Amino acid sequence: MEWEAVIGLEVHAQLSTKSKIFSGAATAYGALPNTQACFIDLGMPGVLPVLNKEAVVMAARFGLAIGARVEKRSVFARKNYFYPDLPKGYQISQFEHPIVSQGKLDIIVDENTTKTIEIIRAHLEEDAGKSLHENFQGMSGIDLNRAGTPLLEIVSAPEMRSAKEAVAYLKTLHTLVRYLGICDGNMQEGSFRCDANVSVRPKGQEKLGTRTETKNVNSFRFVEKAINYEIERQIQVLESGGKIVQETRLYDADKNITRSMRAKEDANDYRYFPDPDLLPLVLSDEFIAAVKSQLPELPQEKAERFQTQYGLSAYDAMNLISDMALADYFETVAAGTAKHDQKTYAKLAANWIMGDLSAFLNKENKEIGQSPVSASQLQGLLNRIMDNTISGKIAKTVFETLWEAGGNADEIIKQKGLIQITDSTLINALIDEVIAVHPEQVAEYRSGKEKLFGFFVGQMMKKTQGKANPDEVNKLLKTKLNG
Amino acid sequence: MSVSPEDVRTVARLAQLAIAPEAVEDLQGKMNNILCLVEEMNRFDTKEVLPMAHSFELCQRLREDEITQEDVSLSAMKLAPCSEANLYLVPWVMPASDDKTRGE
Repeated sequence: MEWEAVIGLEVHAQLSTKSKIFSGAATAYGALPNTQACFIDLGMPGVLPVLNKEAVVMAARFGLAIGARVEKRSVFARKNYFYPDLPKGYQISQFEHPIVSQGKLDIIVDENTTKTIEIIRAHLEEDAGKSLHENFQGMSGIDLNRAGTPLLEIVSAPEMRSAKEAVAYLKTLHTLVRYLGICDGNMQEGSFRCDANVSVRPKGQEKLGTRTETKNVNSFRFVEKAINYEIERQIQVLESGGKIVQETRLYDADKNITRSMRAKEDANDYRYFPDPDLLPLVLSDEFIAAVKSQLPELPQEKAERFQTQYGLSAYDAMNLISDMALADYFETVAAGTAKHDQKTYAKLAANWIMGDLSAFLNKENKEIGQSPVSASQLQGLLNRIMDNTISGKIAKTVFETLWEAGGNADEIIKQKGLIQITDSTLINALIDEVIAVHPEQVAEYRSGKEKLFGFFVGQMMKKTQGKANPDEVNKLLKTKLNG
Repeated sequence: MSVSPEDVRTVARLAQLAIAPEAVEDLQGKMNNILCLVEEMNRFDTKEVLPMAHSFELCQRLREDEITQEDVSLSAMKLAPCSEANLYLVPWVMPASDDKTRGE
């Protein structure tokens, strides 16, 4: 039987406010345990929560960016459950009336596939604390610094059909929240967490299968692996006559498996009710308009501009805009094109940034902001490729030197004598020398073994230490050999 | 609509209340009485009545995003029965072992 996976994602984005959602305690990461949990966060008697305006602005900004409805009236509710890192015995969240509903996000799955994913809702809520299960005198330790940190829970419709689509959605969302400046997106620190709801059904069937929820997977790679594992596991269970149990599962990255954590609660079990400590949140048209007027250029808009202004493909544009700093770097490089055709130059810049520069950055685990080669240094190098001073191959050598020792492309080219040989008289003379010492290969080539052409190009490059202009070599070599 | 003995036990578990088996029947009756009261309300037409989120006709006041609270851990720790390394200590909870009520 052919199966189809159905995937919906719930993302918890930690909002980048200075203080908590309902108290004036700090939200900074990495503080000494419990030093950032005030009496409101601790749920002490007699305290009252007061909503942080910035958290509301950030939620509204997100809603507007995904073309959603930013509700003029939303309501905070208590979600009741017991756990030691939830001091009040309930989490303040939104249930029936979230602040954001019905948005959408366009994702690019691969070079040929785009898809629009519906975002059902996004609601504000407070985070819980952390339980540390190391053995403290046979007990668990509780750090409540995180309790009360503002979260935006973003819930997609179950519209993704593969782990690849889910990752594309997640990356697009990750880019968006960072562009909007509402979340730092740090997955290791838990600022951007993902729960994946996965079910399978026979292809063509409309009714959804029973779903499981895999919680808190903290990297894109793990999300893909966890979902793929879960799809395979469910298919195996069903094909061997079993039933899927609605449950919460945890992904074990070391073993690349998901394992059962607990039976999934129904919403009823949380006994949601409107929080009597908090009045309904009412937003005026002016408030929403003011938030809208401050929206930055969105990733999608930037991607479209990169395509029209620089002539990049949709795929290249999406890759470059995935990180705002990378997009800025590209624009700085592409701006240095006064003497050259802008689109050719921009395409060359895009190729270098996504190719060699990204590879070097990845190898040394660096962000674009930490690149030893600045945008103007790369510009200097690209200018010399554009005016044929050096070939693309030699440029790689220059780039390596720029990366390791700094300086500028012109100095390196001069010092190392890397200027490209374009003089056809000189190239012709060198070709004559190559031909003279390889009479057998010349004869074989002329009798039809055309593959040997590459051999002669190689000999020419060896002779000139890669400095001969490849186009010129190809052209002149062909004339000589065929003549 | 009425609650079953199983419903009583479920609600007790969610509320972390220990209910003696012999108390279930009595509680079931009391909870059903509450539902009867709710049922009474169905006699009225509430189609035009908006659900109330709060008893006051006011809306939420917002505060500026400023850090106004200081570290209270010293005094808060004194209230805890047990603490170590600035952590509150609680009876050992295994992550996700037999816990059925943990949500997020």
